[in-house]
This record gives sequence, C-alpha cells and structure tokens, in this order.
Amino acid sequence: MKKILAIITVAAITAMAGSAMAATTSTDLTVSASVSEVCTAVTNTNIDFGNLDPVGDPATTSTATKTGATRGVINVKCTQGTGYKLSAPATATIANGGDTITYTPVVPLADFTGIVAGTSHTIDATVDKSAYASVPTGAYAGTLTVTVTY
Amino acid sequence: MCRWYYDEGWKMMRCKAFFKVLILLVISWFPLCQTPVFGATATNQIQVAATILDRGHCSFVTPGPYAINFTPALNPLSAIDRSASVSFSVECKGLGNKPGAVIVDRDGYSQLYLEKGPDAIPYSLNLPTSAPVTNNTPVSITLTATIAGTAYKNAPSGDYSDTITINVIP
Repeated sequence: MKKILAIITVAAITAMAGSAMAATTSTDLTVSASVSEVCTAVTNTNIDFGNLDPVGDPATTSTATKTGATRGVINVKCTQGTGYKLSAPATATIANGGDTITYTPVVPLADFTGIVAGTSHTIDATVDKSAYASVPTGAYAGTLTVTVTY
Repeated sequence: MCRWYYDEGWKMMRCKAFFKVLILLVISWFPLCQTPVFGATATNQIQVAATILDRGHCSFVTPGPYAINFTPALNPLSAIDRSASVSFSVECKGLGNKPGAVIVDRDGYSQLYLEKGPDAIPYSLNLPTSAPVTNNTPVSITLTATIAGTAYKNAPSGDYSDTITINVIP
C-alpha cells in the first residue's frame, strides 16, 4: 500500500509540474443543435365502401361496420413526444365523371403523442343512402386529405 | 530471588528454569510470527526529473469563444450522421527558425453530450492531434463535431447545447 501511494504521488507531481511549465491558451467552444419537431403521414390502406346498394343498404353505411368494406389506415411518424391531432373535411366526395357521392370522413379525435416508430390510425367513412340513391351505377373514386396538426 | 527458590528444593529451581526457557522461546518467536503482517519494509527514494522544452507559445488569433452549430436542424425522421465544423487561426511565437507544432485539445476525456434539460444527445469532437506551425504565421485549425443518426433518432424536439473548454498547446 505504501509503495502504491508513493508512485502516485510522484506521478502527480510530475504532471503538475509539466502543465505549470507548458504554455496553454484556452477558450470556450459551444456546440449546439436543434432537433426538429416534425411529423409525416403515409397511407397504408385506402378506404373502400365496396358495393353500395341503393335499395338494400341501410340508411347509413359505414366502412367500420359494413361487410366487404375496407377501412383506411394511415401511419403517422413524429419526433419523439410530439403532440398531434388528426382532422379531415367534414364532407368529401367520390366521383364518376360528373356524378358525385358525398360521404363523411371519420377520423379519430384525440390528442396523440408521436413516436418515431410511427402510430397507425384507422380512418373510416360513412355515406347516407340518400347520397347515392339517384346516381348512375358505376365506380366512384376520390381522394381524401387527412391533416396531421402538430 | 534465586536463592529463595533454591531453598525450596531442586524441583522448584527446575520449574523456574523451565519458565525462563519458555518465555525466551516466546520472545524469540514473536518476530517470526509478525513477519507476514509487516511484510517487506525496505524503502527507497527515486529522484524524478523532467525538463519542459521551450516550444514557443501559441494563441488564438481571434479570441474565443467559438461555436459549432448544426444547421439545418436535426430531423429524427430521417436521422443520418451529421457533422458541423468551426475553423479558427492559431499563431505561435518564440519558435525562432525552428518548425513547431500546435496541439488543440479539450478539458476532460469523457463522452460529450448536447443537453436539453434531462435529454441528452451524445456527440464526438474531432481535434487535430498536431498541426505544424512556423514562427509568427497563423495556421488554420478546424474542429469538427459529429452526431450519429442513431444518437438523435429518438430525441425530443428542442434546442440542445454543450460548452467545453479547448486548449492550445503550447
């Protein structure tokens, strides 16, 4: 034990002497960076009402409950901990040429906390039978914009 | 005292002698028993000497502090390794006609972190180990900080910073 202490003492004295004698000029260096608060959304699955029957369907058809319909799914990725909300127009349309069907998008209304890995959200839509009771048969399509606000 | 025991008879004399021998044996063994406890106690003194060579004196041409700022901001959703640099000039005097060298180092050797409250992003700082200099001639020094993409991928948004001390030697 005594031998170890003695060696340490000698080394420390030597180092102190060295730094005291060597000329050194110092200054501060500040390193900074900002991490962006950002979110992105991608569509995993599109919405599809399937076949709409102006005669046999209930008053309102929802992708959430209709057999054969497809619910939409979007994936939202955000900077860790970023709060965000989803929104969509109150109504939107799908069209076939000049004919349109108005439907209602249904997005989850909640305050979400983003993660980098991403969170999937189901986007539904409902359509009243009255909206397609008198339109020509055929395939209707449109684009729905879902907004992520953070 | 010896005579008093002698009067008591030969047995008592013999007993006293026995105890004397026993005590002497114990005393003579005592140092042997202590040997493992004390160990080698020999000491020696070694003279240590060093001479600091006169390598001149270097200083920052433009006084600090200096700053490294990562721009644009780090985007965790496309996290890639990012680097940012700062350059400054150092001038050395007292070298005469001899070539010299300047070293830039920092205080401490532990991992560096940019911090924002309890959140921290590790980073590294590349310091030139030695740059050649000539007397009274400024030389440019570049320090580069690097943040690995994995270091900020899960970092909360906000402003992070760190301040360290850099030294010019000699």
